Amino acid sequence: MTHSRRETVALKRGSVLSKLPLNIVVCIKQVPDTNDMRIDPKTNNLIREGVPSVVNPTDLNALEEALRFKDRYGAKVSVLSMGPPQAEQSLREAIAMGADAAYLLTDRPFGGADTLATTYALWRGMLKLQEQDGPVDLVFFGKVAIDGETGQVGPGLAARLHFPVITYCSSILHVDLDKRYLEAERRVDDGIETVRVPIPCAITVTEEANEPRQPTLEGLLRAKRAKIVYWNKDAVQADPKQIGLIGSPTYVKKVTTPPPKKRGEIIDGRENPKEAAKWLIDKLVQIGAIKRYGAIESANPPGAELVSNPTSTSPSSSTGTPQADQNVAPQRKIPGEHGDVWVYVEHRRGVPARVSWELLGEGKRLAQMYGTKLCAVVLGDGVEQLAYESFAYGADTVYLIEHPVLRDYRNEPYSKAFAYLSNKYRPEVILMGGTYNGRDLAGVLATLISTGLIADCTSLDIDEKGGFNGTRPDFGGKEMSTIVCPRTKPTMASVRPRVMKVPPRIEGRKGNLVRETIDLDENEVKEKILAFTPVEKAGARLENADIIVAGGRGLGNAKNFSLVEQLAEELGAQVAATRAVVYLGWVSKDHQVGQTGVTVRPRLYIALGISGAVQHLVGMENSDTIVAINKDPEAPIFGVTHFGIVGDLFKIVPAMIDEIRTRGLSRKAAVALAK
Amino acid sequence: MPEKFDVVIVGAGPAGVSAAITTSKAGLSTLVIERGDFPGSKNMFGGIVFAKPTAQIVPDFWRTAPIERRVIEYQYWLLSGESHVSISHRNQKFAKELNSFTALRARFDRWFAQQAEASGATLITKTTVTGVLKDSRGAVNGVTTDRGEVLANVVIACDGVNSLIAKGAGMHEEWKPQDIALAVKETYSLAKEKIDERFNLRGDEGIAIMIYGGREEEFAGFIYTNKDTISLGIGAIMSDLAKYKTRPQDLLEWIKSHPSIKPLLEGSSLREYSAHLIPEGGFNKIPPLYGDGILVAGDAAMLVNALNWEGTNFAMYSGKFAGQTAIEAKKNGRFDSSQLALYKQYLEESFVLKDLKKFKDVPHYISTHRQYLTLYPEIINTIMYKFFEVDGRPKEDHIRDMKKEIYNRRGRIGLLLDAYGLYRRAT
Repeated sequence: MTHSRRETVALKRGSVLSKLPLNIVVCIKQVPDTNDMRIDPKTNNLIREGVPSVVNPTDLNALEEALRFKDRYGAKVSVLSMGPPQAEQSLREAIAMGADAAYLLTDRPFGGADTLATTYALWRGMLKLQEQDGPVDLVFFGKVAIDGETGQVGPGLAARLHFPVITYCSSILHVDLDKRYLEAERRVDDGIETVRVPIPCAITVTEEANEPRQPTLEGLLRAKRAKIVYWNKDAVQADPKQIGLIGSPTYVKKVTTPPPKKRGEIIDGRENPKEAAKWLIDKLVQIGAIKRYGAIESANPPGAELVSNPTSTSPSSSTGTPQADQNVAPQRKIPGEHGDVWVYVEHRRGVPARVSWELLGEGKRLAQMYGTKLCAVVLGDGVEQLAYESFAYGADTVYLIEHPVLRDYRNEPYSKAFAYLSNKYRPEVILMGGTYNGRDLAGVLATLISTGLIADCTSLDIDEKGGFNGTRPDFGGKEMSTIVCPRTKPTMASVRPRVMKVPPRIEGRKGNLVRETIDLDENEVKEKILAFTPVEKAGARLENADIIVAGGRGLGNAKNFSLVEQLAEELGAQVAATRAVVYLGWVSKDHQVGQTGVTVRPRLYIALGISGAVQHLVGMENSDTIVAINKDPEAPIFGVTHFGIVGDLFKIVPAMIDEIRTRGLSRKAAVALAK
Repeated sequence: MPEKFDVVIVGAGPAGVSAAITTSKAGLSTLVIERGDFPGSKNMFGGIVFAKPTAQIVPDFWRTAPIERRVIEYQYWLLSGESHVSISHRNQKFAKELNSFTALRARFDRWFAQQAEASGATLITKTTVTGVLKDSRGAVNGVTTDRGEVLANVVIACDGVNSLIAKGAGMHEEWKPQDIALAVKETYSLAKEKIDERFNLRGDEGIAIMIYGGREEEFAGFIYTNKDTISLGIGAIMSDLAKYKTRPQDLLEWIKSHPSIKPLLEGSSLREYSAHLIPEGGFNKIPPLYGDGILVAGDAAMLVNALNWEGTNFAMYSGKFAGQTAIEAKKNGRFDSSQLALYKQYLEESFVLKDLKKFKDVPHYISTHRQYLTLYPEIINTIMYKFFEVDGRPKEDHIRDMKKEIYNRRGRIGLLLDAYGLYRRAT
């Protein structure tokens, strides 16, 4: 019936616009406003009570993108959400902005859903919508929710709908409704891809795509009166076994708040800045964090007890000296039969992503605990070399599929190939990098093989019963959740890059190469990559830096920031900054370390005038040695510091530079001398 | 064509919400526009709400209102350098029959606005009203906002001390610095048991302290107990702050470190800091309260009794009267100023304007006769010291000293004049 209505409209508009108006669905999520979340200082628990709820920020970008379609081409925009009845408020906000209808999947049995059960429930809702309004043309999502931070529901739902998906879309470039396709840019770790997909399709939108509009007064009044449609499980004919807690292969086993970290050595340098500077340089020389230029590099991280990350048990602490497998600390063995540990080797036309090797290091440890093999999965075209590299980084077996269709990463053929391998060989665990493309693949693959996916892990472990445990930060690291997936195999996990260490590379190390073939036809692949623009990745120099000197707002002004540069120059270090400093324009964005900047893990991180907001800490707290100089003894930065000085950095830093020079530790002087 | 309401109320503070409850209960279509994220998010006051006016608007408010503590004791303090003299009144009648209670605006105003919505009013937040719309005859018939326009038979401006609406409608100009007080307030967290012990309270009993004296500047300070916080604040007339080149935070620091007050805050931690302007010009400075299609209520109308720290209840009453005026206007189908003049009549018949009129000359009189604020608190403190001091001399000597102290500082004639002056204006 609705179909005929749409056709009438189409007839009025003429044959060219035969598919108009478009039928667009935007999936939104109500989340706690993480800016308002505090830790109870007594119990160390996250205070949830009284935290206001908001529409997930990038969901607003998704809605804005849908509304632009509506403005330009005419569309019915429906908003779909799942959550408690309070989520109605978010749907009303969407209506205030211009959405036409809003639906809320709300029912006790929907509660406690993980990403798989969530995509199932939303899919049922989508089917109901299609029944009502006719076929859906476009589905929009925000790129990631700020509470769960998985970014998996968009690609997962797309897989169920058999829609191609553009994840991390930063701009829609061109829409052709006649030929039914659109072209868009999507963000990836190493650049920007321009892709073309046919309509219908799904798109997850980043904050770069647009500036969400403000509701008008008229919109707000309409939203007050709008009827929000509630759907329970029966309304969408959901299979009770596939929704909520019951339908979720993963569940949260425990939630911990990271303990307030044990303080490192912190001295008061307010009285005698020269003494303090001398003390600090002594300490750094003592542990080998700074040394004469040209001396052999072998850093010993100070105070192992300060490292709270359980992954510190991972093999090797230095990337410099080669170590053999037998040097790896003995692991406890898990009894019983287990499958292999798989690592997905991400690459762009044969150039590997570093996280793949980080995962081989961690995967090795897990495989040894299981008493099974570490396997790498290499998909591509002409990428045999990556198989040998995988052996060099510790893989026992490599599953290799080469095919021209697999030359560039696209989730459709890649997930198909990966699902084929997984179904055939039944691994215990699949690890992939928590990169843009890693998450894109993980979300689709988990849906295809119907298993649990633990997104964005920062540490991995195996419990006594052989269960795989993935621990991940929630709410920007304010809370750590340990998640398990006991009922389905394999367990999938995406792992945050630069948290695990790259294992030593053993040239010529051999393994078992398993070549597989799969039928793929380019004509059947919906997504086409039109162009790739590599971006000198913002902060690439920082990511690989050995020593970083970072400055915060405590420096006062742009001119004073040169103090950071001076110290960096003396130490041959890279310069970094907090978001505030970048925002103030003292340095460019590619220097930004933290949640919205780069995550770094240098040997030595020196923080000057940085108070240590959690958004900054998550970007640097895994550094081997952290030094902070700040006038506020209560600054949170001292909570992650190995060596700290409370005092005036304008006195202490010049004294440090003097000390570095007189002791012949100056890299700048050494370089000058060499010339 | 923008949508039209019977009544559009600007600002969801005590005045606006009282008006909204009144009109929506009578079946008038009512829209309240608030610029904050939620009602109360931008509002500030010292800390107490009176029960009677609240009950007139929400009869059984005490069942659901977020009350912090019931005030059972009121104190006045006169400060001097390192001493104070206090008058206090504690009465269990206040516990049995609620007179006033402490509240936190972020919670109370939110609750209050929910009552308006429950009565049928529509509340829109995060929207700033930028001005009024006028018809061809110059009568106000709606408002403009940063999100678009909306029409109304009557606009009620309850948008606080710096009312853009009243200014936009040409009803008043910028306040003068001598008519505006700047108040700063800090809220300190302290365990409930500690507060109970420190102020001799039980259960939900609370205390209100008003503080004067000890400074050159004309100021008033206050302490209120909430459930597990203490509110401490101080307000001073803008022109005085300018004259003495004092910053309000200096006054706050001073009062916090006064030896009579410091121990009350010991062991607490600062939770909030806020600042607010209070219109304290009194009766003589009240702007026109109504015009064609517009009414002004609450702080926007300078309806504050600075002497008795009554702002919130004046706001509630004036909001209610504005609402009643709109109801009558709707009945008669007329919204011009002669019809809306009813509002002024309501106010004049009530204690709101009666009180303000009665004390109309006191604020100015005190401002221009500094001895009340500076000299007398000091003299009284000295007298009390001498009265209680035991130094081996006969009491007669003490009384002589006390007299000498007074006469030396102010003189017999001055004393008589001061007493008469205040008597004439305040009784």
